[in-house]
Amino acid sequence: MRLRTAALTLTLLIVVSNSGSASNFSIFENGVRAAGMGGAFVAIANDGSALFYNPAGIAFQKGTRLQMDSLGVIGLFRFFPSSTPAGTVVPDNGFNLNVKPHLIPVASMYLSKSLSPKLTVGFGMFAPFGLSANATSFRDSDPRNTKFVGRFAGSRAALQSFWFQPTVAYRLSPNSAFAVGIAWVHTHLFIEQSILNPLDDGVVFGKQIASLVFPGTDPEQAGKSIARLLPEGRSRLAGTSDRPGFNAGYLYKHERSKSSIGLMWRSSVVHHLNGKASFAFTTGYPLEAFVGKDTIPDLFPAQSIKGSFVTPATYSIGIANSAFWHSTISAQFDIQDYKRFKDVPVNFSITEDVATPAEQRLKFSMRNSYIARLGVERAMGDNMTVRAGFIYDRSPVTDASVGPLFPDSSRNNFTIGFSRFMMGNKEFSFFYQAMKFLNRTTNVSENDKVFTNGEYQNFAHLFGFGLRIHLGEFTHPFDR
Amino acid sequence: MKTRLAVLASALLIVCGQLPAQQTAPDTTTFIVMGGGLSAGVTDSVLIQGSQTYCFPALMAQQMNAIMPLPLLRDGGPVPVISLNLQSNNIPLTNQSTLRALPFSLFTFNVSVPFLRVSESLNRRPTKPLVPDGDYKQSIINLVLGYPALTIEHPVSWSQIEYVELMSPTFVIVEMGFGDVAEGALSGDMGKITSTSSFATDYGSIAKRLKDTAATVILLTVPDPTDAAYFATVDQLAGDLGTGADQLRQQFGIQPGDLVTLGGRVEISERLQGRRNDPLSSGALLRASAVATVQGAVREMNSAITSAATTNGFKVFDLNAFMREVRTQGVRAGSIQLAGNYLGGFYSSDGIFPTLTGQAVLTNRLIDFVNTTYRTTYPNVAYDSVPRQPAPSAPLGPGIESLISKMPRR
Repeated sequence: MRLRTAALTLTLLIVVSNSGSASNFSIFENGVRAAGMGGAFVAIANDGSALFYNPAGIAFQKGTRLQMDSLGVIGLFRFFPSSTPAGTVVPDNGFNLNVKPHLIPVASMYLSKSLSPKLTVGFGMFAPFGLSANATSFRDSDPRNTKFVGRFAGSRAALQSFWFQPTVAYRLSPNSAFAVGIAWVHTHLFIEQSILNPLDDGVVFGKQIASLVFPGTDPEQAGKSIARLLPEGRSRLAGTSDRPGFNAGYLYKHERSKSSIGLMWRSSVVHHLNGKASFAFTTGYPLEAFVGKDTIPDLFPAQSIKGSFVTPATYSIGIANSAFWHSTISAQFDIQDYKRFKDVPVNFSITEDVATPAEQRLKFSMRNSYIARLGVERAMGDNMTVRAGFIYDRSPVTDASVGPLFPDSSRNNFTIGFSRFMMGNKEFSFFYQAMKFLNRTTNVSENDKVFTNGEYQNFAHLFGFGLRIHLGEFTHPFDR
Repeated sequence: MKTRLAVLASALLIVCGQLPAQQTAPDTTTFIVMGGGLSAGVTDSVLIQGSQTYCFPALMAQQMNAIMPLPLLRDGGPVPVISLNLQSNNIPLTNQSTLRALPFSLFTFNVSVPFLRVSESLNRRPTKPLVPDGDYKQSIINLVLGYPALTIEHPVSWSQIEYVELMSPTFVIVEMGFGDVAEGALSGDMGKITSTSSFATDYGSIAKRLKDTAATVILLTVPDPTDAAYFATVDQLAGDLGTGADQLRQQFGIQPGDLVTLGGRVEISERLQGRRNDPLSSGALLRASAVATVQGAVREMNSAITSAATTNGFKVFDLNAFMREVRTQGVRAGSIQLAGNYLGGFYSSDGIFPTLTGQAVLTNRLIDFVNTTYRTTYPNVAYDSVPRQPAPSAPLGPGIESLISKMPRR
């Protein structure tokens, strides 16, 4: 009963995470103990978060285990544009891309139970992907020159992808195990951006009505002028998806050398979104009196939409060794095939006599990312363990797609953490991670019209608390 | 040694930030001109399609590859007419139509109104009826700023500066201030000259609002109305009429410093020919004291313009100096020399506003100014592409004439 209540509470707590986590919108900090040692956990996987890092790890965990981990992210994102429309007011400290409130909580929960010496089942709830960026520090009615300059590339984005993963782990031998999990993946996606850019889609619109507004003039030039007479709009697209996902892992432990090797694969997921699109426009623009205040809004009716996008697969390989200095040292290498994330096609449901097309593709330029991790864990007596780690995370976002939705760059992360047993079978853990993004300067000519070229300076603080409850025996030398 | 010192001096100036920074070429996407009759394209006392098409805003836009939708007015049509009454003397009024030429744009980028004062740019708006009886200026305001805005289901009415702001301009030329001094000079009533303090305040307000649009702005200084061919010295008039200057002074009581108006030219000519012998009307001469008042007002207004430019980071084109050059030396239009005296080629028959060729000369001076200031390479207008006289509007079809005659104008 208490477990059910706790799980329900955690479900309500699983919310969006800031993009200040691993590559782009990946979240690797789904276990406090693992995060304290740089996430180099695939070859260790000795707590409930193994369901995330390497599900084969639960095969080595006896009894019934319940684990609840929380993560807090404070992302500090600043953008200094290299060019702006004439008259734009750029804040002294650049444009703030931080989510408000700054602290974003993420929670995960893991439950495992060994049914027999060889068979263990588990259930995990975690969010391997999440994103929250917000440059909407302006109102529609604000003067144009004070609004966020990159708003036509995006002003707000939120992605929350929750995996609810039952898992079965089988002990192949006393030293090795294999596990598979099939997850129900529930995803929310929200994208907001300004439309009718006077340098882009506004010009297209302007050219179409040039002969009406400025007859006898060059439509190409007239379109540019007309684009400046249009209202500014905001589109908001939101959708949810429910799809399956898959997870598999293998863990081998060599007792004599006190070494272990771990492999993990988490599948890509094609998310089929169902949702809504809505639009809003400024008023008081010059053309309004002539075309009527409802004409342009009527061209963009609120409507249902369908869309899709792909989250990448994850491949992890790692080794760990506990032979030296009473410590466990672990190294891990991850690859995520972000190249799959090429675009988000959106299909509008109302396409007759309106401006919403049958399909619009939000295109992105990504490359596969890789992450190198190094972690160390040392027991300080029977009840205390300390951890530290380092992560190099190569960003999957190419210069072309760096912007308000993905203000990303490669990172050097430093982690510390500790765990302490208290009250018998309960272990409390804590971690902190300093996520130092490399300053990134972009200069992509295709982005000149949306003013996302410039310098991105980011930093994130991550921290988390965890509670692990052991309802079984501790018999394995690697198992605490 | 001198070269080294020059290089060192330049380096120091660069370090101290004294050398002028390179100006960014103006974005001509939305090129707006706000001004008076000169910018509007008045020629021979009328504002018509044939002259509007060759005003300097239109020619500049053409050379700079920008659009310049104009509030074109036909030179005839079955509608009430209006007249630009430059003075009260016995110069026949020239009527013009109040019919906008088809096809007309929803908006115009030349929002110039003849003799519009700076305060009126801020506050005077289009009002119905479209052509009020006896009010030329309001009629033009309505036809330029209020058409078709006044005729739609939910009319909108924007003052000149409001209109400019709403167009979201990228490049603006301001030719304001002539209306604030010219009405007084032409009528001889110095009370009609805008006070310097009011002018400075209102002009500063306009400049600030233009600054807020983030457009590139060029301000034109106010030309001295007494430099126009409308006014002649007694020596100039004597030369034009083929008589002695002393005779004119004695016969008509012309004092040193007095100027003869265009109406006065006609009156004096009639009297010399013996067709009249009554005294000259009060509008025949602009006395020396009034001339000094006008010129002093122009100097102070231009000082206010220069100050507004400095405050807001705008450039200034010295239109006053250009018109002075026209008056004293004349200007060349290709192989043709245009003189600044009456019917000398630069000014049209109204003596105030240029001929089409005169507009072309001004255009090329402005283009040269833009090229020098912003390091652009816009080409000059070819003078042989500009007609000597405004072309008449194309005839309306009979059906349209009938339709238009039924439209309410008053």
